[in-house]
Amino acid sequence: MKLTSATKVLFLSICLIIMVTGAVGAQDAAPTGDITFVFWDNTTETRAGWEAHVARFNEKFPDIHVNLIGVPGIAWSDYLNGTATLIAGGEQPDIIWVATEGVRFLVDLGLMMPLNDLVEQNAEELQPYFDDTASTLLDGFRIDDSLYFLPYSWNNMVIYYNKNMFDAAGLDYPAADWTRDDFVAAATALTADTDGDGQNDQYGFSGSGGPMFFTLPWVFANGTDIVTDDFCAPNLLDPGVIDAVQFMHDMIYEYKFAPAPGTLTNTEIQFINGEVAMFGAGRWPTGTMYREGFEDFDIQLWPGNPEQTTEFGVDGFGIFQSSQNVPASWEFLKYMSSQEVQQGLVASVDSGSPLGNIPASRTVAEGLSAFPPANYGAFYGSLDGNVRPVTAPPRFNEMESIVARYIDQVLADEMTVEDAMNAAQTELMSVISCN
Amino acid sequence: MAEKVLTVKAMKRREMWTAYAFIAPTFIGFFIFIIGPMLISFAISLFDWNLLTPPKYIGLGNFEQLFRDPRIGSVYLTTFKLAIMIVPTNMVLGMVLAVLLDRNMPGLVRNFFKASYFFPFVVSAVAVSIIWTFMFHRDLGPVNYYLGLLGIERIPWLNSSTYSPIAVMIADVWRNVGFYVLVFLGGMQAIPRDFYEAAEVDGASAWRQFRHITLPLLSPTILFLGVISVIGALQIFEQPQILTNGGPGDATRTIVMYLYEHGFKFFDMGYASAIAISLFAIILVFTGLQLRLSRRWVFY
Repeated sequence: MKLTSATKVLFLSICLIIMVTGAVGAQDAAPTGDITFVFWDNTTETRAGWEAHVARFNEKFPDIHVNLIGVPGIAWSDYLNGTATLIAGGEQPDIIWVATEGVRFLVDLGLMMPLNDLVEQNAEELQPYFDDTASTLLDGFRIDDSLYFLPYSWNNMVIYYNKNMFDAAGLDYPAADWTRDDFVAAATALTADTDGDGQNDQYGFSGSGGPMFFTLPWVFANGTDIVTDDFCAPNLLDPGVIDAVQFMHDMIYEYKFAPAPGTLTNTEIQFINGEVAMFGAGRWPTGTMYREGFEDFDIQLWPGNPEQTTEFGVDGFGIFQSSQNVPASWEFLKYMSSQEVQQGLVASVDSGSPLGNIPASRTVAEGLSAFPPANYGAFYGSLDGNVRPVTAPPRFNEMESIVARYIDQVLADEMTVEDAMNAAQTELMSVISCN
Repeated sequence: MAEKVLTVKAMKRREMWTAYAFIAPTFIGFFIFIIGPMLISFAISLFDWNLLTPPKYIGLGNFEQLFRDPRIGSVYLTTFKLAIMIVPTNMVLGMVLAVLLDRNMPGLVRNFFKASYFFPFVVSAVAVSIIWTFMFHRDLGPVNYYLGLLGIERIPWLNSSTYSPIAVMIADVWRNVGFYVLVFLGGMQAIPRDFYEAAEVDGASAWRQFRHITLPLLSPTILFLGVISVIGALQIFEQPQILTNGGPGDATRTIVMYLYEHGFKFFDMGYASAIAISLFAIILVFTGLQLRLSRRWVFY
């Protein structure tokens, strides 16, 4: 059969139309399919919170099905262990929620996808997000110029103080530029043996030792760190580190304003009850204060020695290299990092109670003004001063375990600081290394 | 006749298959849950594997690391120390309580005591340990409260290298001694009463009866409990993990905690498996020794 010219033109036109409309359709087609999101299931409200976010996400992307996998754990390291076990068991998640402590570990193993190309392709859409997120938080997720996660929330370490106890002792509240000497003076004045049994039952400060996040502020306040900046060698013999650990010891045994390990049961409740005047934490205790109806407290930046440096840790969302559905994962990741979702960090939709972390968005973080503490600016505002991210080399868990084991012995008064740091330094050599 | 022989053979074969069918679930379970994981564990010990990336074969590298590891000696020492504290305490206390219960008393009273002693054993070790963390609390715990009434100063049970192993031992014995009581009591009640009656007629004292009748006839029970208690003590995990997290330092860190730490905290499954195999070998040696030495003192 011979085609006429008119038929040929018609046929070619139809093909062209199909190709063009097909291409445009493909460009506009919303991502579809299944994706799996792994999150730290650390509170009773966590899963319900993520489910609500997924429901709202599905209003925009109804054809993306998000499987939620909650991994329980007390600390970020437990969560990371659980996630690793999950992956070893054959699960292939697409997106993970992870904090500074696990970033290097995942990136160094080549498990995470650099987001640079995706960010570039969506530069215009994401510009407001990047403008509204402190660069310090983004830097925490940038390794060798590649961005691996988009920040969602974060915490810094600040000092909570009980205003009633300061008032009763006739003390001024801590100033923004207070030093370690000011801190010692206040904590000493706030320590007392109220029942006269010869043992202190009211402490000026509580919170020495424990996880790395609680130890590092004293080290950072001395202008140093427990490993070198390139994560290639331990730095525990630095005089600043030794001094910080000695100070943690002295708070208990020299100044006696901090309780020995194992003395308190619940620092936050004892703070509310007036048994502890100050303690160190991020934003997470504000929920407890709110639920207990306690408002007579405020926060202040960590005391300097003499320069102030605030420790922070940030968490965010990243995509696994192994993801089989990057377009859908990317849409979900963008949504989860949005202001709309971060708004949920300010207060619980159900209870109205303030929730855990500080939003990564500066605009959303302004919403913290609706709740105590009055000095809420010390949360986001700290990023404008000296800050350091929590020290998190690739083998963070091992580093934390070694350092905590020796600091525990110092705080139990069973080892001198020098001996402990010497031993920890030797052990860390094989863990913190670039060879 | 030939037909009859064949029938008997066929019947025997049928019986054999029936027997195999009955023991099959146990065997299958044993292979899937015991032998299989042991073989897999041995295979993993030959690899460098962090769970997340493909394993790399390194031969005996993990076993070489065992000999170079500066901590493993002290962790094994702590484990042995705890075992030395726990095993005799459980055995002696279990036997004493069993002797006290093996007397003439109303069945209801005996059952009440048996249930009381055995009850902690059926409670999860984790739950028991959590309760003991409150019991041993330095300032608020009942243990220090009652010691305080005796004029004893508050003891840092969970934060001192001296006291934390004792705290772990107490928590372990409190939970497990009921099992020893029950097994000892079963052994004692299987001893024929005639022996005691004859001994009484001969004027033997209660101590001599215990020394020359109860103990010898209880020796198989003692051996059984000795073997399983040593194995259990060398594998202790929950109590120190929850009470002290192994601290302070490595004062209560046992070898299974160390294994867990390397496997599930440091993502070093190969080395964790090598530790598991070293523990398996040590338990094998101890059990073999106990069984060999038992020939001298166990009366069957």
